[in-house]
Amino acid sequence: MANTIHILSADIANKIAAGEVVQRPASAVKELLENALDAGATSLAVIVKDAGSTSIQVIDNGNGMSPADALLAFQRHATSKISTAQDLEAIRTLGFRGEALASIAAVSQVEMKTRQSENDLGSLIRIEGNELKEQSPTAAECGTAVTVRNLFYNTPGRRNFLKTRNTELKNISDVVTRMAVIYPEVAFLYVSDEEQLLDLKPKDAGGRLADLFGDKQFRSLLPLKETTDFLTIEGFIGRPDFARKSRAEQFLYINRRSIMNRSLNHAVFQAYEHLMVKGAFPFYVLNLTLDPAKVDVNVHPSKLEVKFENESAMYRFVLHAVRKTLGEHDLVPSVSLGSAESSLGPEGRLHFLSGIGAQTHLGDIPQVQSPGADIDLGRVFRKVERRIGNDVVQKDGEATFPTDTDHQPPVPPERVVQHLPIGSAGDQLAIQDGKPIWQVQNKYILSQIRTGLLIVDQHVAHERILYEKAVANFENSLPTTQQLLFPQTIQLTASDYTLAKDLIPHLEKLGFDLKLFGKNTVVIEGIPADVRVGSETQILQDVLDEFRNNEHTETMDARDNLAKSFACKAAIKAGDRLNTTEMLVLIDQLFATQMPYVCPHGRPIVVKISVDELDRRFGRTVK
Amino acid sequence: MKFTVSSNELQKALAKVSGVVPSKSTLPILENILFKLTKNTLQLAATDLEVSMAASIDVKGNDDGSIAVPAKRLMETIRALPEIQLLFNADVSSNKIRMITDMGEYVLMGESSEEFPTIPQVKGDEKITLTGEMLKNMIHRTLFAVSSDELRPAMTGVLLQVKDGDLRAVATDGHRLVRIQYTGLKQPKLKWDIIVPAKALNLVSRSVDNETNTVSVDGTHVQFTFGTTTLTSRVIEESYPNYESVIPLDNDKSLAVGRDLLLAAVRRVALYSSSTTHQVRCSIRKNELRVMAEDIDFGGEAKEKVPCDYSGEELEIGFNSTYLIDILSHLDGDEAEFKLGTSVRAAIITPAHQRPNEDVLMLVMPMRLNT
Repeated sequence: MANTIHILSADIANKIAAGEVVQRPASAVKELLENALDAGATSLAVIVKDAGSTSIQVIDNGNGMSPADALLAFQRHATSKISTAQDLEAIRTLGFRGEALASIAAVSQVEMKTRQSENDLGSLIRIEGNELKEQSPTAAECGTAVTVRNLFYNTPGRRNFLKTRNTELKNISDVVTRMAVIYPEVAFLYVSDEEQLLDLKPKDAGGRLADLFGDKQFRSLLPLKETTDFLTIEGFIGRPDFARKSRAEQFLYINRRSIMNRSLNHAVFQAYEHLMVKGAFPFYVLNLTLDPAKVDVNVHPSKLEVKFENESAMYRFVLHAVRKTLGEHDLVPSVSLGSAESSLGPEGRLHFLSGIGAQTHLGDIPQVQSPGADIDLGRVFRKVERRIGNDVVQKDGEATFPTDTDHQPPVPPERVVQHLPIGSAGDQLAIQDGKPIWQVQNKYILSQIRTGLLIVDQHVAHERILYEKAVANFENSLPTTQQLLFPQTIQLTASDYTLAKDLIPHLEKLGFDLKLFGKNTVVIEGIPADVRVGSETQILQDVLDEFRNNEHTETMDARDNLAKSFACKAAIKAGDRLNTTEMLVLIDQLFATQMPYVCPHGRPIVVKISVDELDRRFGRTVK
Repeated sequence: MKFTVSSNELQKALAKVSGVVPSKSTLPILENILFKLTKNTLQLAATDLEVSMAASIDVKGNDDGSIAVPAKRLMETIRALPEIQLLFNADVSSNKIRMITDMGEYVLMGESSEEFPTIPQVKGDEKITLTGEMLKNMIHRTLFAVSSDELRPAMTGVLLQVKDGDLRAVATDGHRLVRIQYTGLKQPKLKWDIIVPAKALNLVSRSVDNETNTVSVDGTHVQFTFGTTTLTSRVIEESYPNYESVIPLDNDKSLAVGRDLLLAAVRRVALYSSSTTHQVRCSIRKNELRVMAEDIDFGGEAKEKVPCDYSGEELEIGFNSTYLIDILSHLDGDEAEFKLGTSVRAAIITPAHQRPNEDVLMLVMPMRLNT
């Protein structure tokens, strides 16, 4: 038989390679934007027609190229960004493979004008399907302008696979937004079919977010910054009640490169714990800065996924950074009791109250002794102060925070309880000057705080305290294993079996007693003593699933549920009478928990009514 | 349908069957008690479709017929009446029931007896006869070990096994097990293997008196008959776990201890065990049993010494104190005998002196001690 294997022509090879890099107009936009940013541009324009299928134009004011470089740039594996294999270990630019322009040129008609600042004349290059059609000197602005016309004109298959115009445009917008979020110092202009979609001036990180998502959204964000020797995390996370129904507004970057990573995404989500209802996703923008040698970006054709040297350390770091930020901020819903001018009638309608400028009074809280109460009240206040003072200290990032108080956003129609904006957390939760503390209806605890009235639901407050205690107990206690009379045999899938095998020491720590029987069969001979009788196999399966999803199993859902129900049953009930000491101790303990604002089931614990709101209710005009 | 009866007599009969009536049901007819008058006999029947009970009393009958009477209102009325003659008069076409006494009359709306589910009858002559006491004892000592886990229906009932003239009752929840064996049944050829739901046995033990009782079985149902009362229950059609294979035969360490002494000690020490695991630790050496518990979460601990008769090797073994308390309090006699193997092997507990014709064995799985 004749030989059947032959080398593909360069043309086909290029088209195949292009297929990986340029999947759709949005990928071309991404590659061109990355080139522009790598060229040091401070101002960028993206102009698309017909969602990029007719033309994509990316204009930057970066370094530009010499005529010879301009021509070479379209060759495959031609790049200025790396030169040796070692450079691959320390990639600081967005691109590095030298494939983008070649790939785009292989499947479209490209025209590039470029000029370096030291030259008077720029050069024009036209390439169609990788064939040079024209190269000539031309007048050009400093920087590079690339126009991609008729993308996929010579690969009709790919062209037919494009989604609707709206979908493709959305993808391009997404790419532009992701870039704009993390490069706030660069001006972005984004035009689609003559319509200007974005015109962003250089700002700081916070300002850029406000421009992109609106002031209201921005005010709901909490700044976050955490630094260790090898890793810095910086950005903003959304308040829980501004959660979205989709993951679209989650921006994760590694060294300012937009990436997707399920594990880190889960870490953020996990940090929100019970603050989120099911199906809601927090808004966040997080940039992790780390030594490029610790992360491999060369694992995905569009560089959307990366590999970390130590993924579980990254997971924990992100989890703790986000959890800490959430814990430090005043997440107390501030409510107003329905305004007189409300058109929706008198029934208690709550609405957003904008905050009061951030002011801390650290240190000037008087020490008080309440008569009859033999606990150190000053200690209570200091503790509360400490918790809530922190977030003001946090503001060393480049972001600035809105402090204006006059802006009263419109009343949201369905969501009734909202949070104060950042920066106003200050000392609002310090119970003032030994002012009396009351119990209302044997159900709620009321007290005066600097900015108004604080209301605590006694049952859920106690529930939160007991829940955290129970969880801590589970984590600290030695595992106890109840041996089973009838060992349970379960048949696992091959991958679960391997996982179980690797996890045996871990599962034993949780209290399981397992024997591997081969052929994907596991025999459970003992179970953690605190889990419900009868659900052994289910619990093991859950633990394995949990591990597969998150690569860690610090807790078992079964235990968490146990802690929740224990806390709920053991907590004081609505209707229990409390004396002053009991109330103060309760509040002291509440603010010592990790998350004093919501109970384990997600109900709010603390509500605050500001003086402003009270003034308004009583018809007192506020200056 | 018409009859006269003393309110006390009626109340006694109602009390027998009313335990079956479900408090909530999607089938409203089940919240009724079926009255059926045949000459001078009134039969009362109630069912929750799993378990049914029927009882008869003598009345002065006037007019045969049957009707379903709302259980709750009827019972509350009868209970509130003093001892008095009651005329029960039901119009079966309109389902209107009138109860007339010297003091006044009470009208309530019944349901047609045709709506009421048929009470299954066990036919055939596969039956055994037990004394009421025996039955009661058997139920009392097995029911506590039955599992409440609906995912393993077989364990939610008590296994009744008849083989070679022996009767065995077995209950387990996967952590502990009870096996009671009676010898000397008079039917050596009978062979049964049925699982009776816990609810049925609960009702049996409540209504059984000291007369002789018969237990009869057909393919899907078991029936207990005591006097004029019968209880019929669907059996759990599952295969019971192979309990014989988990009873260790070579537990060589034998410990004899005063049952009440140990029970009281465990009860006290368990107060200091962890509230989630209830673990108590038994440390056994020559003629000394030490029971200890520690609650790391709240920093409590307790230990007690109990004299015992033991000559084996020293052994440390952990148990869930609730299981140990359950077992010790359901065991007969003054002295309990433990047969132990290793610290992860099932412990066998028997009364030191078995009753005649009876062999009781209880078994509990230990908790692994982490030191």
